[in-house]
Amino acid sequence: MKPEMVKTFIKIRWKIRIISFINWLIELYLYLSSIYIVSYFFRLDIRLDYLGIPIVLAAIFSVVKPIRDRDIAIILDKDLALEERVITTLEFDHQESPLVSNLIIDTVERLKNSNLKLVCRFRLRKRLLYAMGIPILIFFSLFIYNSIQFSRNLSLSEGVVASEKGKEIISLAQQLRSEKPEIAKRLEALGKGIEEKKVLQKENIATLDKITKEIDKETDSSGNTKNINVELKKILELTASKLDMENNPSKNNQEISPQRKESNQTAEDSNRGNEKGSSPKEPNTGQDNSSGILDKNNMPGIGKNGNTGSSEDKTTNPPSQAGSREDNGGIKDLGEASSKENNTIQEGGTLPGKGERENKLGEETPRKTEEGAPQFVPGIPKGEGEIKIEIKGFGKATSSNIPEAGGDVKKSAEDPLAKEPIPPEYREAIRLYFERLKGER
Amino acid sequence: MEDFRLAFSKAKLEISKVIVGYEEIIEQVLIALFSGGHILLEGLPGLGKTLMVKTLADTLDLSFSRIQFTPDLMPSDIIGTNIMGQDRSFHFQPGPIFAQIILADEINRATPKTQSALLEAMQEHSVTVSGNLHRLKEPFFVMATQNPIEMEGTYPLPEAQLDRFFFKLKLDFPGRQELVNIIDRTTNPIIPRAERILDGETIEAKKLEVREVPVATPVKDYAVRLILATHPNSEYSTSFVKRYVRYGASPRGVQALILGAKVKALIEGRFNVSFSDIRYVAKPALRHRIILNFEGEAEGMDTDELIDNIIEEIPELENEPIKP
Repeated sequence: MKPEMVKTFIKIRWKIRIISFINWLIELYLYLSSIYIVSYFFRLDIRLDYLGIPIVLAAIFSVVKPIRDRDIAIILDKDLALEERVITTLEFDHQESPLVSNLIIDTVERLKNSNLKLVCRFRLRKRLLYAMGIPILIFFSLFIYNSIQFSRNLSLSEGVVASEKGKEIISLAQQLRSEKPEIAKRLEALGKGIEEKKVLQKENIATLDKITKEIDKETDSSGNTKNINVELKKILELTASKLDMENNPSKNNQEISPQRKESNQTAEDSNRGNEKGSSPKEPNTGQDNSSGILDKNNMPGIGKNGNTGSSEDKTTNPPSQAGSREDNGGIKDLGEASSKENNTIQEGGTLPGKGERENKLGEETPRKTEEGAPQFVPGIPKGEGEIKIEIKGFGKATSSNIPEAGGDVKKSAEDPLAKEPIPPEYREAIRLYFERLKGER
Repeated sequence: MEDFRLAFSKAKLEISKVIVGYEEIIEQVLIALFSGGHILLEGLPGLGKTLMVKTLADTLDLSFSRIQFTPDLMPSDIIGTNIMGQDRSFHFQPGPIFAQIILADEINRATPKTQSALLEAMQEHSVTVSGNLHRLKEPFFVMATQNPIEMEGTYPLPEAQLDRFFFKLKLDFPGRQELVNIIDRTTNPIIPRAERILDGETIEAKKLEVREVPVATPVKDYAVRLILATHPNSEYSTSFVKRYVRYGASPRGVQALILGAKVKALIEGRFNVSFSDIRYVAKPALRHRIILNFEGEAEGMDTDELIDNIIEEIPELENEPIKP
């Protein structure tokens, strides 16, 4: 290759390396920024020293990457519009031919006269657009995630602080456990709630900080807490109650909703009624209903509106009871109903309770049937037998008002034909035709 | 190279004295001549196809013969035959093919048997009669004409015959100004005539010079990919080709591309072939080598459109150079 061309190639190679270095640097910083964004959201401490890594890596990448003469020749041809002169010169450099010699002279001359600034102009890689998208995507993803995860009223940092504060409250509660177990218990529950739900408001943070500071003041060097004064106790209770309200907005809603309130009231009433008739050891089995008659409105856990197994009920009744009540909501035990004819057993008293049914009404009676078979207390199924269950819906039977479409359609189709007057000249022929048909039959 | 450019431009100028317009066609005719290929001229009657060939023959100091193809033309009428002489022995009587510039006028009017009589002559530059091989004098240059609209009583050239033509050139109807020029040149008392400026030896020397033009690997690769793209089963083929093409261009197509591009490079004043040269000769070199399928024929697809599509779709470099 001619020395002039070699010089040009070296220049272009360095230019490519510098542009490559800048591109790599930008790209690597974009990747690194993603790491810093993540660390910001997750409060990780990443040293700023790492900012030097992209410089080193970019230098390595741009120097190590081989740049072939062929690539430079193609770039020169393209950017200087030399119509493949350089690449052809490069390939046929060693060939002895008048045409090739002329080609080399021509190429060198053109390269000399060309403005090399036009070659390989600085431009950002297309890949940088995608690389740019990564930190943006990460930032917005984490931002949205935090917005959903933390309270809307909180700033991001406050949201992150919430879980830490929760831990602080729990540790505070543990310190108070021996002297003020009641407050400690509430504080612990509160702390756990904050830690799990990550919900904390500014004012609550401030209040809690205040409490923490005051307790810290009263904590001696050995770590034992002194007696807490009445004022501090009040603050603690107030804060705890506030936080409790904020952390359980569903509870607030329950209190606000009049319908639910009514339902709850009914459920509570029915529970109270059950409690009256039931022994303390057998809560809410429903078997000892005072009236002994199945009364939906009086059933435990079933409100006037027919609500069954609501969350409120579950708080007062064991979960298994709530579930079984739902099962019987629309089912009437016909085994009992059929036995009502022979025996005077009433509905009710057989409501499913917790565990197995107990035979409250007695065992086998001394009475025998005509066949000599033993008789049992009526209404109590025992042994093998047939149980009939009828499921009744709440609505009335539906009736169809659809007219008999077939008949109507036929009629509407035939009517126009029947009404159509037969042309006089065809009447005789038609009459004869039908008479012949009759005759054939 | 300057000699070549000079000779080329002189020949072009002489032909342009007689032929109005068709500058590009004249250039392509000369490219084929300096590449050592044959030309198939297609155009409506009266567009000057025959005149163009005759003018070229006038410009070149070469022997010229015209063969008017008709349905009753026999191969021996073209090649020649053995006839009994006065000495009662058979002598080979050369046919009109034994010239340097052949005008095969309305080639598609002759039967395939007669058309195929040209096959050997065009490819091998020789003919065989009664087992005897007869060499044709160089440069040997066939220019055939055909009328695209008169289909009755014609025999379309078979693919093998078509492939022998280096370029297929289409003569479009002249424009308004060109028609005025035609009137001026042909209805005046002085009718322009072309002068002889090139002889056979010069042409042969220039043909050798053309073959020395270097072609870089990326340019060769581009030409090859263009040819491969005309094949519907190739990995480079475009959706158009897959849909409308039955057979793609033969290896003669890529030869025509490179040789034609080499001449184009020289007349452009370059010592090397560029991508643009390949593109310039792509249509005349490939349009008759691409065989459309039934769907393509039915939809009136033009092979020029397909070539445009291929040029558009196939990038110059398969692998882009390093990106900084």
